[in-house]
Amino acid sequence: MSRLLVTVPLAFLAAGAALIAMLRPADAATAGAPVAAVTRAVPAFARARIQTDRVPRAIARRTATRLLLSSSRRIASRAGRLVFVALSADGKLVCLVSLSPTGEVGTACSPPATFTDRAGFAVLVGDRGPGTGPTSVVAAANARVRTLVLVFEGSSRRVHPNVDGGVAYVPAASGGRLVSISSVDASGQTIGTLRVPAG
Amino acid sequence: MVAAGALALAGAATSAHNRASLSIVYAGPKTWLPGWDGELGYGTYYKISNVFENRSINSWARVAYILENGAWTCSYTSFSTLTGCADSDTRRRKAYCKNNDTQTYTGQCRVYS
Repeated sequence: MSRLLVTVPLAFLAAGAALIAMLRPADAATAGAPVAAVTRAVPAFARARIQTDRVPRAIARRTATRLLLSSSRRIASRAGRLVFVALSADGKLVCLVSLSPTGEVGTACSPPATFTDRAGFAVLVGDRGPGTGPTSVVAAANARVRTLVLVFEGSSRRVHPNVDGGVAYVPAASGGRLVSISSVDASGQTIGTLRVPAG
Repeated sequence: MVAAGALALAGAATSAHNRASLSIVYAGPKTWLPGWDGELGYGTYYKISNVFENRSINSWARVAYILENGAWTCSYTSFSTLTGCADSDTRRRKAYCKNNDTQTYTGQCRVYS
């Protein structure tokens, strides 16, 4: 009897704790994916969602994989371009989604553990074909990255991810081809470099 | 090296995806050597996603639509395991994907709505 008196309340406590955990914003945002890996990949996932984080339905229907819409965060906005991060519906991928002013919806996804693992950021480059200069460079950086150095043919540009890790950069039309992107930490050390293919 | 879309698996309604009414894998699944590409012949890809997906490693890849006049639209490259684009262009064009990395990986290219 005494064992029953202990077990039943404990079971209720455990169930209550599980329910509370399910309702926490961070858990709702990362359902099906390791929370630590997701928030490590992009800092925006660690904060509560706000109204502007919602991916418009019209965009959500055109992303390259179905998204867990309750997980989305808008991480950048520039010159009519909106940039979101969200988990895929199955929780297996983190996706960077870019909506251009002309209605193009670009998507780049990777597993949470590798999304920003290689160089500290994930990147999606829009252009007009192989060998052309970029029309947009959007990225999601992890919390370690302070600066992204975009190296073009003949010039370079330093851009700073915002607190959400978001970057939306629209180069000048004459900027030339994007050659590489390097990430730099707060001490000025290079974290990693991705060479952007010409093809 | 171009993989002709006509050789790819013809798609149909896929009940697994609620929103999918069309799904055509036009290149792969296969091993993609650096520089290999694939395409699906000219058609109207209105609001249809063009995706290079299920890549075995984080890697560079390109997706695009190529108009009959040779211009490229919805052209994106990313370092990831999935790269995709969709837009509302109603012109005739072909879907295109490419392993533009220096690495070899497996994956497939698909259009779907």
